[in-house]
Amino acid sequence: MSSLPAASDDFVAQLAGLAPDGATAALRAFRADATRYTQASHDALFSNDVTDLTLQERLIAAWYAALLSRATQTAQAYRERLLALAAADSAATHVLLDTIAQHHALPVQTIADKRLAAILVHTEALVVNPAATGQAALSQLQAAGLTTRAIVALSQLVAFVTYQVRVVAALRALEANA
Amino acid sequence: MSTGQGFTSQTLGWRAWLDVVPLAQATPAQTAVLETSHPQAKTSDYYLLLVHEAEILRQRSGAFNSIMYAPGGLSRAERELASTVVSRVNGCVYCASVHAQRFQQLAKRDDVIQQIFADPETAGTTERERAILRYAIDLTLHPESIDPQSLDGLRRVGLDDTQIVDLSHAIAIFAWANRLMLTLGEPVIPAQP
Repeated sequence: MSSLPAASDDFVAQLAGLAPDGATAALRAFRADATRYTQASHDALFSNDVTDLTLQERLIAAWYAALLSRATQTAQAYRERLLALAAADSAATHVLLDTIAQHHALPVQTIADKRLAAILVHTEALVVNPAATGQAALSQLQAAGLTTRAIVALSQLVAFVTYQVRVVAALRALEANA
Repeated sequence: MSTGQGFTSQTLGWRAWLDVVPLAQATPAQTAVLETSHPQAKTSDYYLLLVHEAEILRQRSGAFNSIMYAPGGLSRAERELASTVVSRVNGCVYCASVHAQRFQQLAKRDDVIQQIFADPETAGTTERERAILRYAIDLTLHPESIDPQSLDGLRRVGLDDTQIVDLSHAIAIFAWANRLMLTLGEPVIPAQP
């Protein structure tokens, strides 16, 4: 596990390309609590303590959420972690990610793993049109075998990525201005 | 009280669509997370559902509370203004009601709230409010389009870089909060007293 490209200890700073001693990094140091809790939220979402959703499922959902948010660097970072996790089987993972990414609409029929397909359908709904998700969407997740804990973890994860990409976008704009 | 498009600043409840953790069955660790998350967390479906994954909730509450309540920087009223317009744009009626009320309590007025509920694209009673609302809508709907020029409008009306960080955090944390509220349950209109 130690050889995996983990997130850095300040993943947002890495994604936004902040110079460690620059003006934008100093602004974040002023808001140290928000910075620290943002990283700790990420760490909790990808912790082994989350038992009802596999790490691979979480990384795929995070990657897809970032991709749908058109956050290229963030999507790429999750993709690299996913490919590293799947090291022994990275060719299959490549094919899976490319299949998903190359379609404008999610190709549910081509995903053999029905549980993963349900996770991706929900990820897309939550990113793109959250007000249209409803109780029936949760029933679909339950039908695919997700527990309440899994649904809570998935919802927190996808919603977190939508937060993360917006913080990164703002910080990158500030850094370019500095 | 402001209403429009189904949005309201009246007090709403929220009901979970999934099984919550019964308070009597919460572990000491879950109880501790509830106590640090929100003053009413122990009687709230929202927190009692999220506490199924207690460590995630603990860190999320830390992020939320530090972003919305930290002293200095952008005024708390302007953070609530941003939260309200983001909730309006994302379609979160419950979140909009809570944060519209907080803005009204802090700013002692609700004229801009009425405008946000009617049409967020044209809302704002001052140049400063219009710049804040424009940026909040853009970062919410098109985060990929944010570039250095996106910040010019904010700087023109006097926001410094610390305030821009605070505003961006307040907008982004509602991408998160709105999605939890929208996907895990629904608002309920309390019975009239």
